[in-house]
Amino acid sequence: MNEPDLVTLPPQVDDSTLYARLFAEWLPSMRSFLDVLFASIFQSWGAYTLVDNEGKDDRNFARFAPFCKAIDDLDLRKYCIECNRRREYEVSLSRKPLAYWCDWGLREIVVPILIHEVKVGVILCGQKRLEGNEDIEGQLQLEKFVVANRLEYLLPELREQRSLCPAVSIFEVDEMVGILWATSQFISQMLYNKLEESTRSERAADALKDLLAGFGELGGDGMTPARFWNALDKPLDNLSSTFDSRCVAVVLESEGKYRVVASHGFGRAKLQSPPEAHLISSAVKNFTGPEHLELTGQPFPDCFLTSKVLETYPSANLVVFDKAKLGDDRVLHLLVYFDPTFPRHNRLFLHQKKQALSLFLRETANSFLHTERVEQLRKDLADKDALLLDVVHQINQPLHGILADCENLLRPEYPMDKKGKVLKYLPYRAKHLAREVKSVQFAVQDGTLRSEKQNPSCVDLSKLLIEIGMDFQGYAEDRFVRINVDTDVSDSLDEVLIDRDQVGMALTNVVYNAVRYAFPGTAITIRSELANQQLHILVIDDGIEIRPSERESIFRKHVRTELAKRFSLSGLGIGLFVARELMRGLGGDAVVVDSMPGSRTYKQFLEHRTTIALILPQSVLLKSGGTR
Amino acid sequence: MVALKGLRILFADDATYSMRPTIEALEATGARVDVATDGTEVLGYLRKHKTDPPDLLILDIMMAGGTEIDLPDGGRTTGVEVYKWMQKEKFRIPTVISTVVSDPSILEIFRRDERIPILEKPYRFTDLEREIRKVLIERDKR
Repeated sequence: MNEPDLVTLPPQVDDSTLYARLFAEWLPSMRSFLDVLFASIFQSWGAYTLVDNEGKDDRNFARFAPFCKAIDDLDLRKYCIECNRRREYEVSLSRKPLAYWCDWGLREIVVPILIHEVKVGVILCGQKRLEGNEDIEGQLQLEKFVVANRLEYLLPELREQRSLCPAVSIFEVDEMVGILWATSQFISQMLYNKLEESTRSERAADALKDLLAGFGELGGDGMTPARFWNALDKPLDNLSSTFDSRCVAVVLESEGKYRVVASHGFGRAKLQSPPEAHLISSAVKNFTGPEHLELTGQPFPDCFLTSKVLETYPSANLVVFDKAKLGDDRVLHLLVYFDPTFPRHNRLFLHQKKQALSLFLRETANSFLHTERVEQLRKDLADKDALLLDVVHQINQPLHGILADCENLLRPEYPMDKKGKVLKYLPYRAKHLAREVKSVQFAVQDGTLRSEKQNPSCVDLSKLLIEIGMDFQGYAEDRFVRINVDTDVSDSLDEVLIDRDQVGMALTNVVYNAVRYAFPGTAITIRSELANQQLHILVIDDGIEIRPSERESIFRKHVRTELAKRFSLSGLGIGLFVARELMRGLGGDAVVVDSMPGSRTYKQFLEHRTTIALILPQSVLLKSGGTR
Repeated sequence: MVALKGLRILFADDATYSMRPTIEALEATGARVDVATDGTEVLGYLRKHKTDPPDLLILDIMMAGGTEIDLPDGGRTTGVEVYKWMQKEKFRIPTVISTVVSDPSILEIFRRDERIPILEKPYRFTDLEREIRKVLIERDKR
């Protein structure tokens, strides 16, 4: 990025005092350098001095000719001081060097020292006569001045002293004017460099302190992305006052759209200020992208001025435009309007302001991203807490059943016939609990089990289906649901080559789901069939609906349908996720085949016949077979 | 000692499969246990038996469904809503909370009411018996 050429910026009257003060402060530190410089320049010149903005000559940088001493001895110095003042004033207006006849008819040169066209001092040099006839004008000047001031009695002495001053040609005078003018500019540049170096660090430190103080508060407790932009008002206020800007706005670009997310000062500008501020305000509100702000041919090619500002107020200060990325898909823009009439505004430091504004923008972007990350972490933690509660629920519920069963077995008054039933179903309760724990483990490990080493073996599929049906007999009875296992399968499905544990777990999860969401008095069917040369294990229930839009999402982790939540509160939403993951790990899949409406209702729910299929690839079939 | 025999208990829990052994243990003591599986059933039962209410309510906090009660959080706290309804209607039945809820904010609602003991599943049947006796003794004191 090219920095603006600050030296060419127009002057501001208010800066002169500051510059003059800095000139006076820094002059002593430049002494040794200037000594050498002046000694080489003024070898043949009688007198020279540096004069500050208040007209005081600095005798550390002065050499006085014998003529000066004579003037002092004759008590005429006041005339010299007045003469010098007039010439200094003249050059402060013209901002150019001047060669002139002094009151005593000697050739003098006065050269202004300028910073940004503001005079901070002058170099005075001279006490030369001109050679030949060119000197006549000087002699006449002396006569005229002496008569005008009634100093005739000193004329012979003054003539004599003047004649002792060295003579130079008019060309030598012009040459010295050029040398001194270049020297003045060199001193200006040195002063400017020192000024810049000093103020840059001081101001930048102050600015950073202010800015960072504001951002500290943005990271407080309870900060959310939604509140962030409102909370940015204070740092924006700091920014605005620190950098003498009237209006500041932060614009968020997302998906090609621009939105002013935070602004400061536009409301006030609208009420108090001249029309251009109003235009700025509406320009920012209607900001639709950098192309609306970019102007060509401006001295700040990578900043952007609003066309509105320039149309209305040609000498307007900058609306600085900068941008910072918010992740990969969003961009923050910063717009700042520096009021041109603001007296404290100092253009000298514009580029420093620009750097600090860029820092502000980056800090804003970082803080906002941090807030988003914290919010996400907070949400993740809340989700995790909720999940842990669900896990506790899912495990404690069957655990309670097992504990109560065990206690009943030990109670003498508990009927013997019931103890027999308890003994029959207790292992299934334990299996039910183990299934819950295994599912939780699977979900937490998130697919690592899927890549577990598979252990395929010859499995009697009918036997497996019956066994799993039996596992749920007690649970189903309690819910007044029957489980039918259709073992009428073709020869080709008598034996299949599968990982018994993994297929068993997938099927168990699907059957558990079916029993859980089936209506009382209905039957669940588990059966296998061949379709498209693949093995399908179907679980069919009459219960709540799985809507078409939910038929994929229910296989995602922790997703439960709205109907499922209303029908049964507890649940981790991982059973079907685990089933699909396992089946896909085996080269198959788990899908909802359909969910067709029936005619019955249970509570407020309409019955649907839902079929979920576990699909295994042809490779599991030991015998070739066709569709039943 | 207060006997459980002959008590009429409304057991409100949607996880009947897990709670069946506890229900049967209560029945084995000679109590008569009626079961409700959601908030709507509980309220229906209590309205129906307004003049001859059950001796005891064992209430789960997280029960599914029920259209009668407007549940702000999607139906997760029907036990709480039943409790609030009972307070509003001044329906005073000795109550024991039987829950797996570990959310302190929900449990706090019941903890403020000293008359209502909270049992967190899994609990032992002897703990349930003890709490039942306590609430019945409190009832008899009034």
